[in-house]
Amino acid sequence: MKFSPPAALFAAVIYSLLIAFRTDITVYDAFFALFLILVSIKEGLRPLLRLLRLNLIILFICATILFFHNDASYALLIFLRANLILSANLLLITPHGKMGIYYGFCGLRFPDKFTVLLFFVIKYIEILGAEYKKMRDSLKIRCFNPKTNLFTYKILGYLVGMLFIKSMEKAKSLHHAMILRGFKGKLYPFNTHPLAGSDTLLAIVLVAQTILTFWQVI
Amino acid sequence: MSCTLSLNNISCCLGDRTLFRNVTINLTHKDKIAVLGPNGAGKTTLLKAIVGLQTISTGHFEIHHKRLETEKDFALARREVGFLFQDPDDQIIAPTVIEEVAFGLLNEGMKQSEAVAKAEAMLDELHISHLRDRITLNLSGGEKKMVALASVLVMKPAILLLDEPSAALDAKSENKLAEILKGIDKTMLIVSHDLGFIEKIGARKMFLTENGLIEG
Repeated sequence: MKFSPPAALFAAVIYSLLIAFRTDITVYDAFFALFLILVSIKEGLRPLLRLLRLNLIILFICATILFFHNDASYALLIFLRANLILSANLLLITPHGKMGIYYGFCGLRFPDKFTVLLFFVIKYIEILGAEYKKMRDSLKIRCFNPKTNLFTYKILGYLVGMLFIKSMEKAKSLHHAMILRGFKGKLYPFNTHPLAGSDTLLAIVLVAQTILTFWQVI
Repeated sequence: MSCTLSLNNISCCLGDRTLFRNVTINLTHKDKIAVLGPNGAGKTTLLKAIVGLQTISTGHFEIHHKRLETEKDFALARREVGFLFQDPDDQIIAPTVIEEVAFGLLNEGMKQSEAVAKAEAMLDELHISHLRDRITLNLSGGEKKMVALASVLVMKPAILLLDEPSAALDAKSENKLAEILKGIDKTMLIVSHDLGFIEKIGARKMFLTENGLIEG
């Protein structure tokens, strides 16, 4: 089951907020996340693998708390909270791809300034990522073997510097394109996905989760 | 025949280096001229100067006999000119293909339904309708070039400035693009290194040297 980008983004933010402020996690808090797992069963193991990869960072943070503050219950709370938030975000937002976030914010009627900037950030992360990959491959082809010596740091410095210069050049070209096309600060997105029946179900489950969370607090 | 685009004694310096001087050429309706020259000769700079993105040292441009002097003149002239960038990634500024092609029309205040219909017709004309809902970031180099060309042509410019249109295209995409450009009856100034491509379009060859444009 796929939800529309604005509904998915809204639900992800609300659920994240509900969980982020909880001081103890119970099985009721996982209700929404479990619903998402159930409706995303078709996705297979891909989201789970992504979650496992992200858990490497979470486990590192939890281990830090456990070893330096000796607080196992707080480490467990952070682990559960982070996993619930991440799983909901992964299952709701990732099926829409990179541009899903942009369309989500457009659908939620965020200001043009914000959505346009967000779009260009997404676009240029991708483009500069490709540039970085090209430069890294070029080093590989030329048998560059990174070590812990001054030469390696110098080459990595060149790489970062070149990436910075390329970013400046891309920014200049984009500015020229905007001038040529008479850009007025708007992108006019219309290819957005309308709200669907599945969004109603998502809203019902989210409301139920909100009631459950507040019922526990009271 | 009346002059569409005139370059009169254009000289351009970058720092203390003179790129070119005394470039003079008049392009009439449907003229197709290819500007050739070595790397760093200033071919792209010349194209950018025509639309006011690069300042020139001497000379002036005229579009439809109107002299371009101030930024306001250039801003008005840009509506008459379609500029195809060498790297389509620099030009594409919308998330999906249909939104990209319709962008210019919507930006001019056209109704969405009308803009989408015109954008779809343009995609049809360039035989890229199958790309309609694709995310622009995920297109191949050749597809991006065609989408960029569609977003330029949909604005019905009187003059086309094409910067290395065949760069990074495979043989099939290059032939397709050459065929499309050959069929367009507009004033064109094409910057390219690719002699074969220029011949396919049927453009007149001119070489950009430090001392101006020389007929090839």
